Amino acid sequence: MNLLEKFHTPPAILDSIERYGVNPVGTTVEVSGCATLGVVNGKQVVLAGTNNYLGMTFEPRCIAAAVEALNKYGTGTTGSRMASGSYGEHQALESELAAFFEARSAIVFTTGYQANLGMISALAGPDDVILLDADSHASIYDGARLSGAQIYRFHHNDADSLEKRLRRLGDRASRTLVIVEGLYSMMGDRAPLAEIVAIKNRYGACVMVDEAHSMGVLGERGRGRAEECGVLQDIDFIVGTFSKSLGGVGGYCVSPKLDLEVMRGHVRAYTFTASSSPSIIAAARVALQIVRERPELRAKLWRNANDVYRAVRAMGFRVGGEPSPVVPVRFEEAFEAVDAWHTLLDAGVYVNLVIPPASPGNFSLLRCSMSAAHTREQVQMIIDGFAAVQRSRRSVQKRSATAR
Amino acid sequence: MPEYRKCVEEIQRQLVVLAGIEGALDENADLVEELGLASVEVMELIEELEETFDIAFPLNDLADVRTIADLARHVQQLAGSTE
Repeated sequence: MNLLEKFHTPPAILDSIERYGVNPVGTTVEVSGCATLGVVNGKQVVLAGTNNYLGMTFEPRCIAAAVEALNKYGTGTTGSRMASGSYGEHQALESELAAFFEARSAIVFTTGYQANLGMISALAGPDDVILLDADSHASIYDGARLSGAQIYRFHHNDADSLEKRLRRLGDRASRTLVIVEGLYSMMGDRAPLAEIVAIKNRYGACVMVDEAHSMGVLGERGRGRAEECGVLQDIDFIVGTFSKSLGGVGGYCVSPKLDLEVMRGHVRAYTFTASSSPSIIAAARVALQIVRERPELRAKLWRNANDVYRAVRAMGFRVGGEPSPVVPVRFEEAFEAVDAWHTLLDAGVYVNLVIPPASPGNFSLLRCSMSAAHTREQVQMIIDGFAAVQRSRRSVQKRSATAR
Repeated sequence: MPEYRKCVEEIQRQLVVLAGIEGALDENADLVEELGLASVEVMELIEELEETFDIAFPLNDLADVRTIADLARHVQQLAGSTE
């Protein structure tokens, strides 16, 4: 057996490539000048699967800042933050992030994945315990594995399940890092953070919250789920990304309680990689400023999200349990989801296709992520796209009933 | 510490409930390769065993578990260490 033989393409994807000539999980999206429009497979589509929650990718002020930094600092730093790659821009962004979260300190990473990988693997060691929500992102699982700590899962969003496991850990509970996400990327549901914080305090554990999908989206000032639940100052570590609501690429960790400076040189995913291009950092700084200045973007995002969630649910689709900028539409079979994905594409709408094992269970999803930049017409196109899926499914059901 | 036999029987019972696998009598059957359990189902099985035996099963130990017998021995040890 050679090394590549263990890799298989799922049958539903192979079928899609054969029947439609398109790989739904490997499409090229051509974007030109607009956060919500692109061309997929030669067809102009509304982009509803980009995590571009605030439409920041084409914000003129961010682009201007990036261009200015590009001209001033060049295309890259060619060095790690520990060597020659720490520019004034990186340090300024760290100060601004700390101020935004009212935190003691912040560390900026080249990607969000590296923020989780680096922080989790540095914070916990072989004598420690990591307790993570079962639906955690791959970067959390990978960081946990790299740490060498004992890893336990608790039931998704289930505070009782968390408490039960902390109790079973006995004395080790105080050496435990609990990890949850503010808003879960696949199902769009939110962590019961107030309960989780109360439990971790009771057992003397620490908690890390990944606000990748909730920063800029939740909370009165856009600081995420912890702010929304009123527990920001009780969180030990907040990690996040610049690649969603801030429209760039990169990651960060802040701590409202601890001074992270002591660990900077011990975080391998920070030390042994090149720092972000200063143009990316300059754009992120302005994007963060815009999150602070323009709460109306959040209001618009939520209006768009609520409209799509309610309309798609009213059509009889199985959606997530609560309105959210992530609207997951559930299909039991991967083949059904692939067909629906193509129907949406024909209707001019691009969403994410998620099939097992990437989905959080033995089902598939069409995952929409909404944006403040979607126009009313684009929101209607997304809703109309799902209506077309519904019509197509009904006609298939009718044909198979007739055939029987 | 629960008896090994009790652990095996509980695993076999859960295989029926969670994955509809009846008559998994061979304790040396590989959970994934032979019984066809998906990775999600392996995790569900472990969660059920955690509840039944009031244990905490570390993910780190999953690499050592291939068969019903491996899993039963692990559960037995974990339950014994918390008594």
